[in-house]
Amino acid sequence: MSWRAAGITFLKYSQLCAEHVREALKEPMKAKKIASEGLHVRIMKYEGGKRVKTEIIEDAATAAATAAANK
Amino acid sequence: MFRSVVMRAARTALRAEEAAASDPAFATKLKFNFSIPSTPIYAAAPVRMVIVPGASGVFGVLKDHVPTTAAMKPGVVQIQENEGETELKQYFVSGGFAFVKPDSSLDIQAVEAVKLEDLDVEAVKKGVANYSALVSSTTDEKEKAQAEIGLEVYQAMAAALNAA
Repeated sequence: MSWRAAGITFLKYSQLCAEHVREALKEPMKAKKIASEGLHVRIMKYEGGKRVKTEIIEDAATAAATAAANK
Repeated sequence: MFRSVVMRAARTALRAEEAAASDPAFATKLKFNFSIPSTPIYAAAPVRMVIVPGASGVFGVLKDHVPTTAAMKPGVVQIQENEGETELKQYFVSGGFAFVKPDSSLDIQAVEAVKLEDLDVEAVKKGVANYSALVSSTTDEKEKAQAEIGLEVYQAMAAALNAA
């Protein structure tokens, strides 16, 4: 529990543990898992009832998975 | 009037309890729920025994276990679906919580769970080596703590796979 003293929260600890487990998977389970665990946000800007701009924000894992899928 | 309502409610509750108790699928078994945020793995499944990697010790749960709540450390959840089965189902969980409820149901919520055989032995060995080196070479308190978390998880996976 020395991570607690270093200012790491339980949520961060849990998240790190989960990432390590995913990293140690065999392919193709790993790619599938990482893609399903990813996160992205789509921001759409509307002006006068029309969409003028779409922006997709991805985290690093999702970006990597998307890049791999498009290859 | 009030009394008869209470009595009726009590009788209804009793009947529901009896119905649950007399469900032959659960006569000698736990009602097992096991899930990660993205998917359920077991949903109200009858299983005989589950071994849980509790943060303060590994424990087995059978039907009529005393109700309890336990945090889990990175480790293996082992499931014996039927009595006499020697080959247990094994899932590696990164952490989470296990709840044993008074009605002999067991709920396990894990942050991540993978089949033990889906782990890559070589990647695990490499991870143990990498993080051991990182723990001894890092001086920054926070980075060291993060490296120790990595080492803890990889060592637990190595132990689960019998790969030192």
